[in-house]
This record gives sequence, structure tokens and C-alpha cells, in this order.
Amino acid sequence: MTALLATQALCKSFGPLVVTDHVDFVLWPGARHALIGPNGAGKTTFVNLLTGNLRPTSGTISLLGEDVTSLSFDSRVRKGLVRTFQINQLLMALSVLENVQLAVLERERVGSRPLPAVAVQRRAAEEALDLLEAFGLAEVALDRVATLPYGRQRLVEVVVAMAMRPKVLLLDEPAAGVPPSDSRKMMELIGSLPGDMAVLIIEHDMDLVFRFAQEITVLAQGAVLCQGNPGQIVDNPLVREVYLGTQSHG
Amino acid sequence: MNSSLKASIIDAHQRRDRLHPYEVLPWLTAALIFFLFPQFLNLGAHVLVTIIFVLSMDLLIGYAGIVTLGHAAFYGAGAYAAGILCVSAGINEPFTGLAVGTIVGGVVGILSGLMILRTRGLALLILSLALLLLLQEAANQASAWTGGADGLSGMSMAPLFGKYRFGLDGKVIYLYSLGVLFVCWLFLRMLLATPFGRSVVGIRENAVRMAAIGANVRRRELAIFTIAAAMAGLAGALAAQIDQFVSLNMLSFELSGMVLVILALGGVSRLYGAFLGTPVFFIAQDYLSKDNPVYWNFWLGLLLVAIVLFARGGVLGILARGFGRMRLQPAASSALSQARS
Ligand SMILES: Nc1ncnc2c1ncn2[C@@H]1O[C@H](COP(=O)(O)OP(=O)(O)OP(=O)(O)O)[C@@H](O)[C@H]1O
Ligand SMILES: [Mg+2]
Repeated sequence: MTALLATQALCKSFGPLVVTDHVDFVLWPGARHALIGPNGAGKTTFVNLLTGNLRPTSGTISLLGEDVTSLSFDSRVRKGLVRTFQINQLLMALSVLENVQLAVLERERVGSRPLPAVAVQRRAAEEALDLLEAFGLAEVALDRVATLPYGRQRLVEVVVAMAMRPKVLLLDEPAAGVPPSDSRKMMELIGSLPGDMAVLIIEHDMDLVFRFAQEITVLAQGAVLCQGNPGQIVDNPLVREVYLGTQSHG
Repeated sequence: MNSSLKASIIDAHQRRDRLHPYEVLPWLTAALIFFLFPQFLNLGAHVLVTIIFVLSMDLLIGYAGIVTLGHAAFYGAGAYAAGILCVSAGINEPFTGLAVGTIVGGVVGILSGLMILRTRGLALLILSLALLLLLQEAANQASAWTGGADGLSGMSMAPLFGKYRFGLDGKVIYLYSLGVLFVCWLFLRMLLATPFGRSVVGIRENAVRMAAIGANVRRRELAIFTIAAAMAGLAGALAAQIDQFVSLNMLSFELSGMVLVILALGGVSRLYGAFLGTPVFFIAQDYLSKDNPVYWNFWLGLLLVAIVLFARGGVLGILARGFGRMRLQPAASSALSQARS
């Protein structure tokens, strides 16, 4: 089995500040992997390096066996590496439906077509509406994203990523700011994603992490502190000290 | 959610791009002016040409969200291309001139786009302005071709379709400009509804999002920039032909600024902002500078302050707010409110 996504000795510094420190990381097909660590540990930065939103200072990243270290963000997306953002990145003035429809069109590689494509656009809108329905968003399909409460915008962010049918999905705190009822629904849906898709989730809510993840990586000050299955992570005294300790007793 | 409700949501979504009956209004108005106000046809032709130029600017600012101050560069390039073609090469067939102006505008557009689209915001604004000034000075220096500060005169256009002479009554140039504007409008109306057109609007809304769904943002911006430049070149060529004259003013910062003002007046990112803003601007200029031309800038400034403070979205914005409710799709919205309750 070849890894879907892998890094070797990945490093990133902002000036003197080392934010990613020699990270070796592998995501296998079907992975349900969680990346945890205290605030400022470098989780988002690590995802930014994986996707190409940031360039590493050194080290390599490979996607589906191919070195993509110098590839742009959008070309990695076209190879199947899709992410959501910790802070929403949505088309605020457009409808919820069109946010998802445009993703479907890009996935189908017709997003740059400068000729009328009414039938193609209609089919994309239908697929988008079906997806929105699965997330309980069909009723607001025609509303502008800007009019939704923040929690529902978070859901749209995830639906847009789903619409891309990723091979590897990176979710940066998808449930942050989502009301508990919706976040449970979101995690259910994330849990029921296609089995061969690899999913990496950054999440602070330990209940969600332990319910979802088969594998957990703990990041502290940019370096991998430890990695293992949920049981191993809970029992690891190092983790308790730097992370879980402050979380569960703090 | 049942399938008929879904279908009505999809219909409502798709209906946005269809033609509305009110879209016949500008063309009706143009026809009425032709028949009822023959004394205004020369002025009318200039209004129509300016609308084309403003439309091309709206494509950049309103749709792609690329704010530049250098758009006159492409207008001027198209004008000089058509002028030089006529004066120096002796090719005076109007449509050939338009084609050459369009191509030259597009080529200058793609070359400058490659440079300035690397930047954003203020840097882009300044770079676009710098390019415009460079081009203006180049035209000034190349006086053997361009006539320099005196302007390029001596254009004499062949009759349109080999038949209709550009007469003094303005009939031919009015209809010629109207025809070209109609084609441009049709093209934009089509383009903006395509996946490409919508993705450009997406880039305006959030470029990071569009990259995150796999769009090559830089390439699409370059494409829309080139299209806008080509259309500005077309407008410039047309202006040169109906005036039979090209001047350095067509490459000026003031002209870029005027187009921005017209867009602010009419309303950005609505094609019809150009159709409303341009005549309003011309009429206001004519009326307000009648008694004392010195005061024109004062009134213009006052008007702009009023628009920015009280009527963002320009004249069209005011109208849209008034008619806002009429634009809701009755079937889908009632179906949806049922589904919600
Ligand atoms: N562009 C940047 N320039 C300088 N420092 C940065 C930059 N981006 C992030 N940092 C710093 O890098 C460190 C890691 O930030 P990062 O956002 O990756 O943390 P995180 O683990 O995602 O935190 P959180 O849980 O709060 O989201 C922080 O100290 C942050 O201040
Ligand atoms: Mg983060």
C-alpha cells in the first residue's frame, strides 16, 4: 500500500520562530487521523504546508507517490488534496447553492469554460442541492452565505469540500463555532465518508477526536510529540503533561 | 425534501441568468432617440461608445474585483491602432479598424496583465497608472506615427458596409455605435453566465476559496483582464473612427477617472450601471457646465460625495432597492417558506 500523503523532515520557520520542526508524517488510504496539540502548536501551519498555502523552509511533501513540494495550492487540489479552513473562506455574496455548485464545476474541470453550459450548470446545481440536503442546508440553498449564522457557514465550508470528492481531506477545526447539535451531525457525516478517502482532522474537542480518530498525532511546538491509536495517546504521560493535562483539568 | 420542491429551487437558481423583459428598455430608448431627437445623434454616438468603454471597466471592477486606474491605456491603444491603420497604412474599412483595435487592446492587456496582476490592491492600482502614463508618453514621443500632442488627424473612413458614409447628421455613426454596443452587450451577457464568468465573480468574492476548489486564479484573472482590455480597445477604435481623430487625452488618467466616476454613478457590477451612468454623466456635465464651466468639477465632486455617502450602488442601486421585492422568484420563495414552517 502506498501512502496518499507523506512528509519527510518538513520544516517551517517564520524568521527565528520554528513553527514546523522536522515532521515525518504519513496518511494512508482510509485513514481517520486526528492532529491535536495546544494552541499555537503549529497545526494550521502544518496543514498550510501540506496544501501549498505555505512553502516549507526545508523537507519534502509527496501526494499519491509524487513529489508535490513545489506545486501550487490549486494544482494540489486538482490532484485530490482538499482542505477546509479554520476561518471560513466562502463566497459571501453568492448563494449557498452556488458556493457548492462552483466546486462541482471545478471538480468536473469545466469551471474555466467560457461558453454557455446551461445543462452542465444545472446538473452541478442538482448535485450541490443533494449534498446540501444531506447536511440539512437545502432550505437555505438560495440564501446568500452572508445571511447565515456562523455555525451554518461552517457547515457550508465542509459541504464545499465534500463536493470536491477529495482523495485526501484536511479539516481544520471544522466544528469550531458550530452549535453542539449541528457538530454531532457534522461528525456523523464526516465519519461516514467513503472508506478509501483519507481524512485528517484538527480538533480541540477531545470527545469528537476520540469518537472519530483511529490514529492521533500530537504536535507540540512544531514537532511531533507522539503518535498512536487513541488508547496509546490517552495513556502517554508526555501527552498528559503538555496537552491533555492542561485541557482536562484546566 | 420532495423532488418538485428541489426542481423549483434549481429553477429559481438558474433563472438568474435568463433575459428579463426590462432588458429591452435601453434598446427601446436608443431607438426612440434615433427617431425623435435627430439633433442629438452625434452626442448619442459618443454616449454609446463610452458605454462600451464603461462596460469593459465594469467587467474588471464590478465582476472580477480588479480595481485599476489604467484602463484608458487599452482604450487609447485601440484608438491609436485604428487611427494609424487608417492614416499610415491607408486601410480605412471600419470593421477592419475595429478588429485591429480590439486585438491591439487585447495584446497590450495581456502583456500588462502579466505584469500588474502579480500584485493586489494599492500596488496594482499604482502599477496600472504607471503603465498608462508610460504609454501616454510613448504616444507623445512617437509623433511621426501618432501626431504627438497635436493628435492624429486625417482619418477618413470608408463607408460602412461599402455603402453608408459617416455623414454630419450623425445617423450612421449612431447606428454603427449602437450595433457595436449591442454585440458587446450580448457577448458580456453570455460570458457572465458561463462557468468561467461565474468563477470570475467567485474570485472577486474570495480568491482563496476559488483556489481551494482547484481554480487557477491567476490564469482566470489574466483571461478576464485581457477580455476587458480588448473591449476597451474596441471602444477606443470606434471612438477614433466616429471622431476621425485620436488625441493623447484618450490615454489619460482623467479618462480612466471619468469612467470610474460613471461606474460609481450608474452602479458597479450590474451591466446596466454603464447604460444609466453614462447618459446621466453626459447630461449632468452638459447641464451643470452650461452657465459656468468652472463649476462643473464642483458639482461633480458634490454628486460623488452624495453617491458614496447615501447611494452606494449608484442610480441602479437605488432602483434595485425600490424594486427589490419584485425580483424574488414567487414560486420558489413560497415553496421554501412552506418547507421552512
Ligand atoms: N504568517 C505567520 N508569520 C509569523 N508567525 C506565524 C505565522 N503563522 C503562524 N505563526 C505562528 O506560528 C505558530 C503556530 O501557529 P498555527 O496557526 O499553526 O497554530 P495552531 O496549532 O493551528 O493553533 P490553534 O490551535 O490556535 O489554531 C504560532 O505561534 C503563530 O503565532
Ligand atoms: Mg489552527
